[in-house]
Amino acid sequence: MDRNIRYKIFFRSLFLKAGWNFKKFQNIGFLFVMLPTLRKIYKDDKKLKAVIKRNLEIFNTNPIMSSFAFGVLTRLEEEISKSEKKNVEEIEEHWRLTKEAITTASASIGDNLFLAILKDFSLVVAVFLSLIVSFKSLTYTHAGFLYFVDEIEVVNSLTLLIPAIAMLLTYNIATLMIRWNGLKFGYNCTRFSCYGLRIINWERIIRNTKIAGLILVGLCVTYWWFNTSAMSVNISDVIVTSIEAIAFITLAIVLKKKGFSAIQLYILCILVACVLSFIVL
Amino acid sequence: MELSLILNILMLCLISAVLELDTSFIGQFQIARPVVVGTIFGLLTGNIIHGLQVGIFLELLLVDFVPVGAFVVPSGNVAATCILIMHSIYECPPHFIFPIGLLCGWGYAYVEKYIRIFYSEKHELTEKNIVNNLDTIKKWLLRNMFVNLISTFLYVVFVVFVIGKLAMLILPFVTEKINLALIFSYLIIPWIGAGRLAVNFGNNLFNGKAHG
Repeated sequence: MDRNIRYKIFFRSLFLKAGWNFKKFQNIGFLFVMLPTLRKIYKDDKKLKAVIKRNLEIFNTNPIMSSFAFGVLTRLEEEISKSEKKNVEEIEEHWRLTKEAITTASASIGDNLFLAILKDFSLVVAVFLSLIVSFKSLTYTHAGFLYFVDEIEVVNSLTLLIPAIAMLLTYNIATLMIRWNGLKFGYNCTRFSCYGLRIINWERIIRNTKIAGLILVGLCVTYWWFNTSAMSVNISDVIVTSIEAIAFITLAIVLKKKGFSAIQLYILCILVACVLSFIVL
Repeated sequence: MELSLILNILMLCLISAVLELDTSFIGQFQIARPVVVGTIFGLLTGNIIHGLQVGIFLELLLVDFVPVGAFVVPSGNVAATCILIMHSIYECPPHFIFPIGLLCGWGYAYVEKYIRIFYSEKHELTEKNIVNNLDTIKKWLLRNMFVNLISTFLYVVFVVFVIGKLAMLILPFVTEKINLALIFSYLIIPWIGAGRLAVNFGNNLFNGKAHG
């Protein structure tokens, strides 16, 4: 792939969702991304208009994984422009089928890996770092397993930027690499490697990220427990907070399986706590 | 309220609206996530610890929402902005303003949905214009972004000045018992989040279907 075109597609792919609509989803964003390629290939305005109509058909995939689709569709577009007139329809049909197949496959991987797991993983990284940063100070405000310093002068406030920066780096390094390399893989690979999708072992990445995330969640809770135990004067305080922790984590897990969202659970907790405070206090 | 304070608040609302563009228009770099927005706004309003706390709490409550396809999720950015600005200007307790801000973030999802419907209704005309003149595509995308920017800005301003004032009218009527219930619920959010994250990571992990 021409390096100049690759840069252009990469930059424009950042705006893929900008034209989102309920009728054809990301079709306008897709055309915006493909436009430099189409303008380079088709010099004739009449031909370009016909191609643009084809490029305005439905397009919907995960924005990060879309680079694979852009890579392969750029190559197919070059093939269409070079093919003989009698074969054009056949290759155009192949273009449509490939587009449909690659967008579906990449959306399935991307939505699961990036929007669900990597997003959660980067959050856990931020939570874990915020725990470490806040525990290094002297005075705390207790909130669940998180402690926050009461007085800003106690710690260098700039260290509190670390969780947000780490979260952004965790997410963006991975996604930018996929966005950039996906173009190359999609362009160079054939259907035998699913246009580059099979070069990366997605299942292993998803599985390892899940395991790392689970370990980090466990570390957060353990870190909290050891620090609370070390700071508490009274053993009963440790027991009460431990029971509270176990109870609410279990409740969150059980209610998730019943279809309750975390926000609904929070609102439910407010209502129950209000009722109990009126009854008990 | 002093004019300089109003201008500062409007500036914060504008920053929030610009950051919101990241979710559906530019890049999806996650800069509109509550942890990032909370840290930025905490830094700007002078209470970075509170900003980080609100950001993490919002994230932990929003872990269930995945912005896939046509599903519009509650805006963590709008919620964090509203909570931090209202906390900063009205000096109300965070456990009181948190659920109000969260609901406002939820409400923003409906605003975004109606904006998308508005674009979709004119879609055929837009396509026609693009086919006739390719240069309109950039203008159209810029117009979309501008509409989204303005609507987010106006929504946050409305929440901060109108909903915030209404909340302040309710605050004196919040009894000690309700206050305790709100504090308790606020402090257990990390546990709810930890449970949710454990389920999300553990889901299908041990039955050989980690991708499911």
